[in-house]
Amino acid sequence: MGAFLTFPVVLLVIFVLAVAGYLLGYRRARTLSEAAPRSMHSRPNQHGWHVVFATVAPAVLFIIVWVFSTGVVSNIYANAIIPDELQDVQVPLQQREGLTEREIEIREEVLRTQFVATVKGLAVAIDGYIANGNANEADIERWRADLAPLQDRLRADGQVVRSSVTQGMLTVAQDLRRFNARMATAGPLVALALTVFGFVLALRAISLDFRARTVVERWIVGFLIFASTMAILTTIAILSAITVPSITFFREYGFFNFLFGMAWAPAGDVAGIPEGRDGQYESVLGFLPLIWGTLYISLVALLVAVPLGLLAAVYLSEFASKWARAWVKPALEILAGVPTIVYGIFALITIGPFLQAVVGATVMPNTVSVMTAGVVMGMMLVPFVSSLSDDVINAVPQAMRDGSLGLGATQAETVTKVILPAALPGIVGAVVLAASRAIGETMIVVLAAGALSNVQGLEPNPFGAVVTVTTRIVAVLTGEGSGFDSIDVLAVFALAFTLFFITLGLNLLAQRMVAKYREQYD
Amino acid sequence: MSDASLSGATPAPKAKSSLLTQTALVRKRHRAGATLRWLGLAAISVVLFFLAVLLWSIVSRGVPALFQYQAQIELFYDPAILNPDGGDVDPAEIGGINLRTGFERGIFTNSLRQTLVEAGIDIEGTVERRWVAEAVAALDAAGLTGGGVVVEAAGAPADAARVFGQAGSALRAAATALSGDDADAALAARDAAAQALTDVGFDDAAATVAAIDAAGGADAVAALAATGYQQALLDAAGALRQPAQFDDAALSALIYATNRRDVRDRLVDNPDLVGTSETVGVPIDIAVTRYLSGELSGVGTAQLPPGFDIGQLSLVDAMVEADLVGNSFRWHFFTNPYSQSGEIAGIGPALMGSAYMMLVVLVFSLIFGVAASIYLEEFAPKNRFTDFIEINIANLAAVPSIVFGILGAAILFTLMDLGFGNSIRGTALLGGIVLSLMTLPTIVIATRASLKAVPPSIRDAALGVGASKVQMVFHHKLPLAAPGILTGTIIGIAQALGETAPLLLIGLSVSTGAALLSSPFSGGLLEQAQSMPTVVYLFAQNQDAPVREGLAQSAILVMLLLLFALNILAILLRRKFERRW
Repeated sequence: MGAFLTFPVVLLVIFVLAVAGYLLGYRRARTLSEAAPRSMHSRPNQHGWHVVFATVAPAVLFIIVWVFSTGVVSNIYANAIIPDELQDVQVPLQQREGLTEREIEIREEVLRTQFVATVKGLAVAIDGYIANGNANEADIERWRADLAPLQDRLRADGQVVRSSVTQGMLTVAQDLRRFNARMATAGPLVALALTVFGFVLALRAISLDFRARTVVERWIVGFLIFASTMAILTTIAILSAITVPSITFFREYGFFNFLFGMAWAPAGDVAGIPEGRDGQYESVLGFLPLIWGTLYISLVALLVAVPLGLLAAVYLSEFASKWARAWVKPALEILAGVPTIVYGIFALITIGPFLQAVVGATVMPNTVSVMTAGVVMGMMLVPFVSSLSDDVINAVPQAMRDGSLGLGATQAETVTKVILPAALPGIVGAVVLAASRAIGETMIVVLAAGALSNVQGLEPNPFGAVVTVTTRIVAVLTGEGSGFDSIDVLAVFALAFTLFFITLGLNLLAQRMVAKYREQYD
Repeated sequence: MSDASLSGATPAPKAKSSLLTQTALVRKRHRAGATLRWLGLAAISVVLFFLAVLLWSIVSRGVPALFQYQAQIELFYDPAILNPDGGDVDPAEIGGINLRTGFERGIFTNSLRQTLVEAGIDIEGTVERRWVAEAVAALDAAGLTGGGVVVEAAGAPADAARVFGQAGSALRAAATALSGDDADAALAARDAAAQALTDVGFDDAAATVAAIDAAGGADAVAALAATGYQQALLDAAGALRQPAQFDDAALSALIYATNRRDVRDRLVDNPDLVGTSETVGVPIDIAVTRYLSGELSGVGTAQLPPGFDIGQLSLVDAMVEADLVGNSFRWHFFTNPYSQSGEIAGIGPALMGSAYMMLVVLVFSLIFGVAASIYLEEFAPKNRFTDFIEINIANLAAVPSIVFGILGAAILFTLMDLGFGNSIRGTALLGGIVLSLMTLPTIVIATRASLKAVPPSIRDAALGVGASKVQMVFHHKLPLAAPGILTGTIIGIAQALGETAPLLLIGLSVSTGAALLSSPFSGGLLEQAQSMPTVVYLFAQNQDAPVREGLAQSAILVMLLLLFALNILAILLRRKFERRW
């Protein structure tokens, strides 16, 4: 029975019951109201919808929760049933020499994690093997006596078996499989029961006095509230995704070692096990060279974007004819809508070689450099700065312009002496926002700033290649992800952590400045 | 001010300034104003110029790369090559593993050879003539005229190579002897070299060598080197040895012959092909393409396509002359998956994957975005919780996309750990969810703006006739706000379409998307996908320069066209449905 009652089947049942429920509920309510005209509280379609919600909502909610919690529960179960004395999860005696208690503990922790992963893989492999019709449960138990054939059979069937299977592994895997099978049967059963229960209950509830509309509207508002908490959930998810590994990293490596380190040279250490001399990590993971590269490029970008964007905004809002505005603004919007990877490739194959030809190969050994990335990023930010400044400038009250012009100031004097000072807080806010964008920008720097994996110190040459925070994140996390067990990977989460808080700080600052400026004139 | 002062009839000593004559100060002020104006204009010009260069660099590289040089080859599925035992091959056997290894290359090479012969191209002869011409040119450049006669007299080029080689060796020996201390040996070696040149038939050169002062020491060596005979002879010999090196491998290198799957698939799909032939367009090797397009001239080592020599290029020329090579549109670019080989790489799965992701974004962020906006705009009480949500949305809109990538990676690791296994990595579903979370704030902001734009009278009227709050929103406000919501959604989707970094972090950088192509509809959302921006990234990382600079731009071109289409759609919708209250 368990094999046929799966979630897709239940979802199909739910769908059929929902459609049937709407029609049945509608008909029933209709009959009732026809028998007693004008005395029914809710309209027939509202009764129909009530049945639909009662049938679908609890079951679907349950399925979502179940799907994610079974994984967690299964993990916990696997961890719990591993016997402590199992050889697979113990550091061999000859390797224990010269290790402290804590180091042994960490190593056993790593072994345990790996063992759980292997056992889960094995369980999946055996499930797949049986599902392909190659054997039944009894066969597996019979093959237990000699493990090599089992392993070879699994592999021959195309199943992935990573390490060689041991007795302990098979025992735990079989136990886990039985547990998973029970879970896989129980979940759909409960969901089905909830569906039928809701369906029947809702149909029986239909009466002249039943306030179906109120109940349905309560369901709807409930969903609206849930949807609006998505923003909070996303923020929480981001925070936990970057904070948990970061804290592990800071504890392992040392917060100040990270923050003030002058070199970035990952060496592949495993978290918790300093491999090098004196119990130190061989990886050197200092933040300064990376943030230096990021800030250097951002500075160049802002030096390009702020004057150009500001002048363009002033021109468009104060001097330009209607015609010019109608053509230039969409052009700027095109520039703003171009994906950043396009800018990155443009920097790489057009701007980089051009700059190299201009300044010479001695000053600029590679086509990737601070200037290559910075100039293009600046151009990307021009529409951003100009449209924000445009808004700010337009928000300056007309009375101030008229006053200034009425006193005899020229238009330019009005702009420089009245409008820009009045709009200054807003403009600074825009620049801060642009800086936050520049710091978080990824694809341009990944392609055009340089791709060294090891850096020492700070690169002073604006035509030299640098490494940035975002470049390192992409480089490490796009490789075949090794999970969280390496200190180098954890360090990347620490990079994301600092990046997140730097940009968050800048954004809050900018928002506050713009809000203050708005208050001044509203 | 009187009329008199304006007419200037009575000059007023104090009136330095008037509306008609400006003082120096006023002129200066106006000049400053003009400067600001010009600066603004200059800034806009710089930006527009940058935009023009950007678009030009994409179009000028991307459009030519959409065309591909192809050789029209009469592909003959020769049973003799297919069968390892040499006998006939049974169509039933095709698809099994018992075909002769490397049969595809054999089929390609033989067919190419046959096609060239049928087109009247003398393959070996063409290569030989080109190398002989090269050798003669090298000799002529050093003043050794009449090399062509020598080659002809020698018969085979290899024999001529031996003749020139011997002369060259004699000259080298002379140079060594001249730099030595033994005067007699130097004299003998010089004469021997002169004799060798005479033997070959270069009398003038022989005279020149014989005139060198054998006792000159370093000066003599320099004089000998200055003639350049030795280098020219050895170069000529080297060139003349080349035709013998020309073999099937050198021939088949011209076309992209490693496209094995293609031949095998054709045969498996249609075993009756065995023993028949069909004309197919086979892509030319991408390095040779650079020669055909004129990017590389083929003169001098630096201008040769990497891995090719002038003999092979002479065959390419002959094929062009015989009209066997054509530049045709690269249709398969829109259907093939990404590949390291530029000849067959395409963006098919990327287009599909992007479409799937946009679908997910549309469903997910539209439902949740609109629901969240309705709650915040219509139902939410003014309290701390609501403020907190608002702050969160405002901040999420400004969070760098890479941070969403980290979130995606964390979701990926968690899901993998929860029993979804490796299969969840890089799927369109996961990508779509991450992009949806990014797009949500954009859609919320747009939706709230358009809900706000609906006048309160609609709300009051609906509530006034007895509608519930939910009815008021869903029956009246939402339909009126729909165009604005739709426009905002399309713009949000256009943004999501170009996002790269988050997708790289959830595993799209390692997939070609071929899996998506093999089962386009069955499991599209849950297959290893590819997307437009990430395939652009892959093209940009390719090892071949023509792919990096050409095909990457073609992919960008397609992506930008899609983006513009979406934006134009948004503008049109806004124009059509926009209502001013």
